Amino acid sequence: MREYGGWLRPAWYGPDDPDLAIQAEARRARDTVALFDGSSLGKIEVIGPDAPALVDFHSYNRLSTLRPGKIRYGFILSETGIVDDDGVTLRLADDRFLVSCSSGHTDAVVTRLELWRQDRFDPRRVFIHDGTAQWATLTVTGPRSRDCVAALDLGVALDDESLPHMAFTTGTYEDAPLRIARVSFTGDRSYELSVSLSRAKTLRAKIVAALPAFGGGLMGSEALMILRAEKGYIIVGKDTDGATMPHDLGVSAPRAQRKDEYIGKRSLFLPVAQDPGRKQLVRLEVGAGEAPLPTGAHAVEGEGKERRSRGYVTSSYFSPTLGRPVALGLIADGASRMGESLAVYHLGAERRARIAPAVALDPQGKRLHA
Amino acid sequence: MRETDWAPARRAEGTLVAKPGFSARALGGLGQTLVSGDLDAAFAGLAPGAPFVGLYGLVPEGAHALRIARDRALLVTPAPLRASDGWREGFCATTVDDGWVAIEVEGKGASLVLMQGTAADLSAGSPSAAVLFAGRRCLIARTERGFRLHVEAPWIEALATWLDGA
Repeated sequence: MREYGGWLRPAWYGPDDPDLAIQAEARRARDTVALFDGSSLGKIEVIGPDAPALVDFHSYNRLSTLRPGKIRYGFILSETGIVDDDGVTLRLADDRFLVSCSSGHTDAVVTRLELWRQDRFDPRRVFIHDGTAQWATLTVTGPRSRDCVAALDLGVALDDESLPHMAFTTGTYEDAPLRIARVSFTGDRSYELSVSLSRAKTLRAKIVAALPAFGGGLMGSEALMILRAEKGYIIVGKDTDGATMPHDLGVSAPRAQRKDEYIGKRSLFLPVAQDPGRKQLVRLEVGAGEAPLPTGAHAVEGEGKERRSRGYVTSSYFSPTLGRPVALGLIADGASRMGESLAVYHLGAERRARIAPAVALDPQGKRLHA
Repeated sequence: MRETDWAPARRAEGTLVAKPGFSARALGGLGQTLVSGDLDAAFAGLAPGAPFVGLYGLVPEGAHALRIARDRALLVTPAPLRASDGWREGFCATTVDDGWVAIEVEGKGASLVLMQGTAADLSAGSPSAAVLFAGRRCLIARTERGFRLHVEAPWIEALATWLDGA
């Protein structure tokens, strides 16, 4: 177990060398199916007739256009336009949304929602309930995930027409609510099974018993970090910094299209937001056979006293699926410098890396539906 | 100690701490529902007659509502309500039977534990039962033999560890 965002979560499983165990878990998840714990992610309900208006104002991405049963990924911004957090939102009903957020950000997101509820909206028509502690979420991911979930016999239709990617369905487990969401933080077909905390132990046991038939196994958070980095999926606060705006991450449609107000909007149109030197999310490729770049290493230009940072490595791992390192970084003008080689400096040593699009594996997203 | 070495967490049911001066146990089987909005209308429908309990108010035998804010309360019932969650006319309800835990602290030393845990002036009371106890957001009510804390379930191990040292 290791602390992630204030929560203890399984980091890897087994007594073996951690590096080997983590690589094996990541590879198995890509090849077959894996179970990991997603319980600590925030599960905040926004409820009431004005809930659609509040979630729209609170989020960079419009959410009121979601239909009940559907899910949308998005960012929330600070008033300065900086990416505060990311996550998916489920529309549970016309007047009820479930806002998921990073594990360590739940209290902050609840506070933000509560502040704006009281300050901008009629506080009798929308309310915030934090249900994070009520629900446990067990995520089954990988190409055999549907077969594995089907083997649990939960009485829920799992075909892609009934339950497509970015949708959810509900059922009953041990006489209590069950929610199954098609959301993926690995880039593979995934099913998030959420039940009340007291039902989690038996559901977990059922999944663990089902996994071997499909060649699957348990996966900790460290292997999950590899999988999401292969896909260019970010961790806010790790792959973003105190200046990262959504268009620095390649998400600019709401900024271009939304005419209504939302938190951070004005800041996205200030001169600093349009500075061509902004640091943008990219992937940094190294040569075959090289070791992963050190996380935190700086991309530099110039020599000696003239050496200047042009960004840095934010995440870096060895990918067992690709057979080579994968690294993400925030690099000045990165989006317009694809294919360029740059120097990466760390503790007196300099290496070369090539700027590439953030997604290293399955850029078309076919594995989400495979 | 390595960063990955952690003792197993205590179960959120039964005795958590047993010391010469006091004991603490987690109460199982209660119904707990977070309710916001028109509280009078809510409790008329969900638990008719359930009284509001503020800071260090006496917990009655049956259903009661621990007030958190003007428009929010934790409805505590002897068993889960199994009411549907979501918006009704003027209020909303969310089941948190598993999401919150009630801890009963009893014994001669219970009042000293209470004084150690919170700086709130309990004798002055407050319509809201929400205070910081041992640095955690808790709802505090009085029982015949001590006091009761309601806290979000993930905090139970931290709170039990604090009680160990009280």
